[in-house]
Amino acid sequence: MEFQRVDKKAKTKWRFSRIMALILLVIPIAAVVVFMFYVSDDGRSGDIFRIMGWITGGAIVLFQVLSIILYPPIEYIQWAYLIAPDRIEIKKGIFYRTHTVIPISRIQHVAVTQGVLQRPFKLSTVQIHTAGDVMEIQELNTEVAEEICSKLQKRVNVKVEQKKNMEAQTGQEAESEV
Amino acid sequence: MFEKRRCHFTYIFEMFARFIYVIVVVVSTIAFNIASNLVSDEDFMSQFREISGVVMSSGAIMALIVIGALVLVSLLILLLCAFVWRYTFISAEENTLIYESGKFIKRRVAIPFEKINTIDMGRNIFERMVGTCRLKIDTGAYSNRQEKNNAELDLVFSLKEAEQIRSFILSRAELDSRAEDAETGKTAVAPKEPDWIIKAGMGDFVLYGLTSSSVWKLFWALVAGVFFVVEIAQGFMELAIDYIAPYAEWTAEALSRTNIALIILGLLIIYLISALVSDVWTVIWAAVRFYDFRVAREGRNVIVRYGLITVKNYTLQVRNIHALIIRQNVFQQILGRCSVEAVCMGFGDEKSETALLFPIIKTGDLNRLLSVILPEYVTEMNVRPKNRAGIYYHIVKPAIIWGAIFAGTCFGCSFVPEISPLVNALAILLFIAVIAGRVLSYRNTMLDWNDSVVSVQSGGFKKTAYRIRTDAVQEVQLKTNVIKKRFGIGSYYVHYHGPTFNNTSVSGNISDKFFAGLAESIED
Repeated sequence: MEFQRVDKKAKTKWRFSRIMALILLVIPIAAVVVFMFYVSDDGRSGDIFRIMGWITGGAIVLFQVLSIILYPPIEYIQWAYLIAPDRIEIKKGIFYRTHTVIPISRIQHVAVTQGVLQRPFKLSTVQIHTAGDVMEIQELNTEVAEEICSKLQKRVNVKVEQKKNMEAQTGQEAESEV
Repeated sequence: MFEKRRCHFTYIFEMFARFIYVIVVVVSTIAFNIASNLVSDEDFMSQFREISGVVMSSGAIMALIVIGALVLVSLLILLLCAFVWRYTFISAEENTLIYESGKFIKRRVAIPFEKINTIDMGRNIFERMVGTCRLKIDTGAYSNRQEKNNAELDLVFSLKEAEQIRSFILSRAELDSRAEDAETGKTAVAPKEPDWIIKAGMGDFVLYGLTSSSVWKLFWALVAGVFFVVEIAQGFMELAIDYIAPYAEWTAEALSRTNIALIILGLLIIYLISALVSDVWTVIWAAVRFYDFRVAREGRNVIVRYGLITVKNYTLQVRNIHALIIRQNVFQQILGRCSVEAVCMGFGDEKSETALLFPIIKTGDLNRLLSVILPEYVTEMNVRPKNRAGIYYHIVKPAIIWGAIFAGTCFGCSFVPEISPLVNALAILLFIAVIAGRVLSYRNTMLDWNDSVVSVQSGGFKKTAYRIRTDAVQEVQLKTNVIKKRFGIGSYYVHYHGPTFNNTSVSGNISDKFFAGLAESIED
C-alpha cells in the first residue's frame, strides 16, 4: 500500500487562506512597525531603529511570501496519509515533521468537517477521534473524505465485532476450564 | 439487590461544611454593611434602646447583628441540607446502582455495576470520630458528575454500611473473585481482610521525607536569597541617593560594602536549617499521610489503604489500570528508590488525586512486587542502542547554548571586578549542574515495548518512566525536523487512554528506526 497525497486543490486553498491572513493580520502589523520605526520620528531616530524596522517588516513579508509561494508545493509533497486494513498513518510538516500511526481498533468515531475556506474548493477534513486525541487528514476532496469516513466506520465495526467474538471465545474457554 | 438507603445523618453536616466558607464571607460582609448603616442612624439606636431597654455600644450591636445573621443563615442552610439528605437515596436493582435525590427537582442516576470503575472509601478525622465513611463511586465518565470535578457519587454512610455497599457492588460488578461468597440474600456480608502484600514502615517514611523535600528546600533557599537581595538593595538605594554615578560604579561599591563571604555563609546556614526543618516536616507529613500504607491484590482488583488522620481506601480494577508512572527525583535516583502511581480510569481526574501504588520502593524490588500486584506490567527495560546524534542533542547542543550564555554573563560581569569572581563561580556551578542534568537525561531516555507493555522513559534530575498497557495506547507519533531526520533521530510521543483527555508520554532524541516496530506492536 502506498501513501496517498491530499487533493491538488489544497495548494490553491493554502495560498488563498494565507493571502487572506496576510491581508487581515500581517499588513496592519507591518504598517505599525514601519510607522513606529520610520515614519513617525521624522527621521530623527537613529539608523539602528530604521534598520530594525526594515528587518522586522521584511521578515514578516518574507515569511508570508514563503508561506504563500514556496510552502504549499512542499507541504503538498510532505503531507501524506495511508489507510491500511489495520492502521492509519499520517505524515505532515515542513521543517518539523510528524509521523502518526493510529490502529483502526483505537478509533472511537470519525467525522468529516468543512470550513468556510474549504467550501469553494470542495475540500474537507477527516477527523479521527481516539480515546486519547483527535487527528486530522486535511484538504481532501469532499467525496474522497466521505468515502474514507464510511470506509473507516465499516472497518471499525468489523474490528469491534472481531474483538467481541474473541472476548466471547475467551470467556467460553475460561468457562469450560472451570 | 438492596432497598433504598439514606445516607448517615452526618451527611447533613458534611454538606453544610462545604458552604461554611461562603456563608461566613458573604453573610458577614452583607450583615456588617447593613449593621454599620443601622448603628450610624441615631433614630434606630434610640428606638433600639427604648424597645430592648438595654444600653449597648454600637460595636456590640453590630456584632449582635452579624452573629445573628450568621446563625440564621446557617440554620436555613442546615435545614436545606437536611431536606436534601431526607430525599437522597441509594438503592440497587438487578444490574444497576440507583442514586436518587430531590423532592421538587428530582434527579435519578442509574449506573450499571459493570461500568463502575473505582470505589473509594475515605475517612477524615471527623468521620472517624462519628464512625462514618465517605464512599465515592466513579465510572470515569467525563460528564454527568454529581458535582463538577468530582466523583459520580460521593456519599456518607456508617463504616459498616459503607463496607457492605462496597462489598455488594464489588460482587455485583464481578470485580471480586469472592463474588458469590460475598452476597447473602438482600444484603452483603462484611468483607474479609485482604492479604496485604506491601506494608510501608517508618524507615520508608523517613526516606520518603529525606528524598522528596527538594521543593521545600528550594523554596527556603529562594526565601533566603530574596532576604539578602533586599538587604543588598537597601545598600544600593542608600548609595543611589548619595551619589549620582554610573550604574557599574555604584553596583560595585554597594556590593563591596556588603561582605560577600558573610552573605554566602548566612545563605548556607539558613539553607541548612531550612533543609533540616523541611526534612523533619516532610517525614512527619509522610508518616501521617501514608501511615499504615498497604497494598493487596484481590482477584481482579488492587486494594490500597493508608492514612492516619484521613484514611484512604481505594479499590482499582486491574482492567481499568491503563498505565503505571514510576517517578524518581535526583535523590531517589542516587538512593535507588522510586514512587509508583497507577493511571486508572475513574481515578485521578479529581483535583490532586493520584492512585498511589507505592509511595517509595527500592527500584530493584519493583518488578518483584509488581509480579504479585500487577504482573501485566513487569518488564525489564532494554536499552535500545542509542544514536550518536542523541549525544549531540542531549548533551553537546545544550552545553554549547548554556556555555555561551554563561560565558557572556561572565564576560559582562568582568567589567565589575568586585562581583566577577562570585558570578564566575556561580556560572561554573550552574554549568556543571546543567551538564549533569543533560547527561542524566541522555542516560534516562529509553524506549521499549513487548506484547503487553510499551515503556517510555525520560527526564534528567526528575526521571519519569511510563509503562503503558499496549491496548491503552491510542496512537504513536514520531516528531523530527530536517536536521534530526538526516541524523536519523526523533522524539517519540505515545498517546494513551487515561482519566483525563490527551495523556501523552514523550521520549526524545532516539533513533527513528524503532518507530515501525513500535507502531506494529500496538496494532492488534
